[in-house]
Amino acid sequence: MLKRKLWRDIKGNYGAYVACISVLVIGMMLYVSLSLTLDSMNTSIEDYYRKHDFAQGFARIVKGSAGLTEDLARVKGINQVMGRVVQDVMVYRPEGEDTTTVRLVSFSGPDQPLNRFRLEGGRIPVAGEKEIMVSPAFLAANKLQFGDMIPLIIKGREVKFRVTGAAISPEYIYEIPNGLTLAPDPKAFGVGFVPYSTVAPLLEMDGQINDLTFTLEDGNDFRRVEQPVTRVLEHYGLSQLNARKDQLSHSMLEQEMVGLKASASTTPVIFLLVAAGILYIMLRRMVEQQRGQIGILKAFGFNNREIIGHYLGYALLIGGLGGLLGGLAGSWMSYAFAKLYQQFYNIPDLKGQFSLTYLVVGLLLSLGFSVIAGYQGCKGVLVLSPAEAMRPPAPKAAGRTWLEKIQGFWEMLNTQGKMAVRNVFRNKQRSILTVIGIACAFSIMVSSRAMFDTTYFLINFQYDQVEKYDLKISLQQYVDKTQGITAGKHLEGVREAEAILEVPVTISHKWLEKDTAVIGLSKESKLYRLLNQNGEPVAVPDSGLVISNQLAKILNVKPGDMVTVKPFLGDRKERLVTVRKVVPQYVGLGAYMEIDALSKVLQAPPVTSAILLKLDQDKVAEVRKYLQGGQNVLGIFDKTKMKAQFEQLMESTSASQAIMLSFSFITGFAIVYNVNLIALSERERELATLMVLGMTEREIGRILVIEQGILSFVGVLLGIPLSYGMLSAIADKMATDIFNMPVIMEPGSLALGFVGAVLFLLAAQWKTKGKISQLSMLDVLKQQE
Amino acid sequence: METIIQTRNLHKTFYNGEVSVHALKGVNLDFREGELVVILGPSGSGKSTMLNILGGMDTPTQGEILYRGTPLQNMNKYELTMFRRKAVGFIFQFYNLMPNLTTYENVALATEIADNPLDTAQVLDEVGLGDRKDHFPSQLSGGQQQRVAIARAIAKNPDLLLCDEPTGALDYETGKQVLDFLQKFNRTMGKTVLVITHNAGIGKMADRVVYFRDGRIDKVEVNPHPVTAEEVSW
Ligand SMILES: Nc1ncnc2c1ncn2[C@@H]1O[C@H](COP(=O)(O)OP(=O)(O)OP(=O)(O)O)[C@@H](O)[C@H]1O
Ligand SMILES: [Mg+2]
Repeated sequence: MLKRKLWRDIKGNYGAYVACISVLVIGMMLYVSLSLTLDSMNTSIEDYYRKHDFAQGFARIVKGSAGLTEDLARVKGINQVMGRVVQDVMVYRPEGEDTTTVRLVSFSGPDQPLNRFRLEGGRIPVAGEKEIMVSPAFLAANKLQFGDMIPLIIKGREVKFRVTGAAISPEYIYEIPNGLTLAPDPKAFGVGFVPYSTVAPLLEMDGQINDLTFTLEDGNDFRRVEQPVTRVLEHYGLSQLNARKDQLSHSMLEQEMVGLKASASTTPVIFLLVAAGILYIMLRRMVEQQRGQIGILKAFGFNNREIIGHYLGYALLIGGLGGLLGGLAGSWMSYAFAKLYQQFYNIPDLKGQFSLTYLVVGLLLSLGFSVIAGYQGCKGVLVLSPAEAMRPPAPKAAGRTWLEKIQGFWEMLNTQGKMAVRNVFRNKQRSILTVIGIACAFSIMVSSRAMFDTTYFLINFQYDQVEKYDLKISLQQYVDKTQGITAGKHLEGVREAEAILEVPVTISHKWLEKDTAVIGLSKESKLYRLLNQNGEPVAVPDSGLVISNQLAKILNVKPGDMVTVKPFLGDRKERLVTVRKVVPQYVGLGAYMEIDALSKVLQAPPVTSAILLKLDQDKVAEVRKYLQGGQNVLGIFDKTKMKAQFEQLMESTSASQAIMLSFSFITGFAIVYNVNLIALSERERELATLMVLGMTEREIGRILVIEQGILSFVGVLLGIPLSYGMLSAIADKMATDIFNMPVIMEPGSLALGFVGAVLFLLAAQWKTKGKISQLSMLDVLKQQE
Repeated sequence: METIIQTRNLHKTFYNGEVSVHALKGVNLDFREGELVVILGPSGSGKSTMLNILGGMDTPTQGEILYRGTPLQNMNKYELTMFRRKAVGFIFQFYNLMPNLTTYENVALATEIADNPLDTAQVLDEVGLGDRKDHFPSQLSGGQQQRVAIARAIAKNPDLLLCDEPTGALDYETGKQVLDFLQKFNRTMGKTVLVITHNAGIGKMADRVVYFRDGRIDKVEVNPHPVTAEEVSW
């Protein structure tokens, strides 16, 4: 009997149920898909690391004998050690098109102790042969096939390598050359695995190595081996020593996972809460409206449990359906996520999955939310005695609202407007929930757009404002500064050339320390500018450091403090340096110094490690072509290209932005539509009376629009600080060494949220309109008051 | 006197799935400008159905209905709405006031959409609610609420005032007061007023009394000397 009533109620008002379930489905879908993706990323990466013995420590030296590995293995706490030759070389492009860099990484065999590669196709190069394996992404991007030749420039000479296979390694899951590169560009950079016996002689490093990786004995901490390792390698030009957590690919992955985790734990909750709110409002209204029926049921002898059970049936149905559909959709979406991630990460075995566990967990979560919200909504049943229930509810004291006290405002409104305004205050609890829901929908729209803006800001700040050069030519060995600049200036089309000096260092302050690089800049540097909060240039002081705010935070220093700087080069002696200024920086942990002062710290004459060039735009390609393969050229960084490529990457994320936008749109729509339906059914009699009076459907609809418009407006107003809050929370959760996200809210994002709010309001209104014209005046007025 | 609204062979059948109810079975009636007509008849005889069609709230299944010569039977929803808005005032047994509007605002709601409304404050004074204009319906008695409903209908200054059992929920004295307002509106403004009632005594104040029976007009009595509302009793 009661079951039939349930179905009939749902049929009569299915729009409201569909709206509520959609929001629930969105929440569950996000929860399940993000959690699944996070899980499968975690397991496949962990698995990969374990099976391929990904190293835990990474050291870079200038040159040392292969026997160093044994010295290092003797260090207490170190387990396995592997020495390699690692060298970036450029692909020879006679046409001078795009520059492509290959990082040659030597291997001893498929069963080498650490960082074993994983063959994805083809065969392993034969020792001594000029053969190479690259990643599948690199193959595809450069349109290479097994058997093709890649011409590489090694020691100024062209050497042709035959591509025999495709391979990936845990060390290069995120295949980027350095921390300056934000996204992989397989056309421009790739790792090439070559036999040691082939590559060492070519690099004139027979029997020698320049890269060591190692694992630790169980339970050992990297920090405990850091000192002894440094002591062993110090004399071989140790330029970098870091733990796995600072390894480039690994740290980028971690960064991504942190962001993913942040999304997985917040976004779904917002949608679930909104769905719970809608359900609560729906059931609460249903119970209020069906007082009479409840009274009759009670009089018939149904007890509270049965009646509550009946109403909770709606919640269970909604929660069950929402959880099930959301869980299934989430599983499906995890396949899409896996595909997306595979575009950027070389993770083997990353697949979407259908997980019964998450389906069940999601279902329980969804049911839990629904039942709690539903119970809150219908617990009013309990206190009603049958006699009481059959009497109409005590009329809600209608009355004036505080808005009426605002001079001039009230008089401006016609009576329809006044009615709308008072309706807002009629059911305060419902209005408050509506406002909160709309604020959430608005904030999700705004913050997903603002994330986009923020990233653009970040990139523009770094690559348009700070770094103003076109090409950065990194050198293999330091050269005399004046000589470097002169050489740069003599290139065709060069308008300006500046020298910089990049020195890897450890900066410490009290017990806090951080590995980073100090960049030496000339005092009046125009191609690499330090900027303050307002984007105005900051002069490089004669001596002392300028550091980025993120680094200042990590080291807990302010201008005037002394820090210890220990270079990885030269005499490696610690020096005390004063921090002069702190500047904002969003990408990386920068530290800056006057270039000659920095040379002095190294106890070297004025030297440079890279030349920045500003060129005539039509000469960029030519200069690049001319420079590639230059004796001392380590790499060429084309900033414009990098930026363009990044923008492309951002484009590709616009799909996910669109998805979030449509999710929040649906949510906003569901809220407004639902509240509209409730208002309609609650006020049938009033609306019918208005019709009798001769008001058109449009005018009646307008009263609802004004009412919802006020709620939406307040929701949007509340949504502005909420968006800021959300963004700051996201920025906070995502802040790492690599990124330091400012909270940027362009008027455009707010406008987008605003337009979205107006659209979902109108869409809901448009759907409601049909309901108004279905309303029959006669039927309604025939009923007793 | 000129005819304001007339029906020709008016039929109304309600279809509810399998069952159909023939509520009006060929009604021919003319109402004249400035007339006060009382409609009597047993329950279910089709009085309300007739009134609803006259007021543009419902449409006939067959037959004609002409308002000042314009046929209503073919009008669409919007045109009927406009007809109600401009020409008709309704009063029901239940007051149907907007609970969140004050007395004054309830009346203003109607006058704001009317073409030629009366002064809201003045109408409220006339129905004796001048001092209650800032009260909400929940703060008024039933009789006072019905007076607000009357004020709302009258203030639009409609040419046709249709009342379906206006005294049905009121006590005797209050009911008489209500009739008094209706009569005043009829006499002073010269507007047509139709009143459905179950109290034959009320017929004494009408210019004509129409008797309904089983969807047809049973008889029409002309009353040459209608009495004042004061004098009727039931
Ligand atoms: N919407 C409807 N659907 C089906 N039948 C209806 C509908 N409205 C009225 N009827 C039927 O039409 C007939 C006439 O009803 P109507 O309301 O006009 O009677 P009435 O004379 O006003 O009665 P009362 O004095 O009780 O108000 C009745 O048999 C009634 O059941
Ligand atoms: Mg009736």
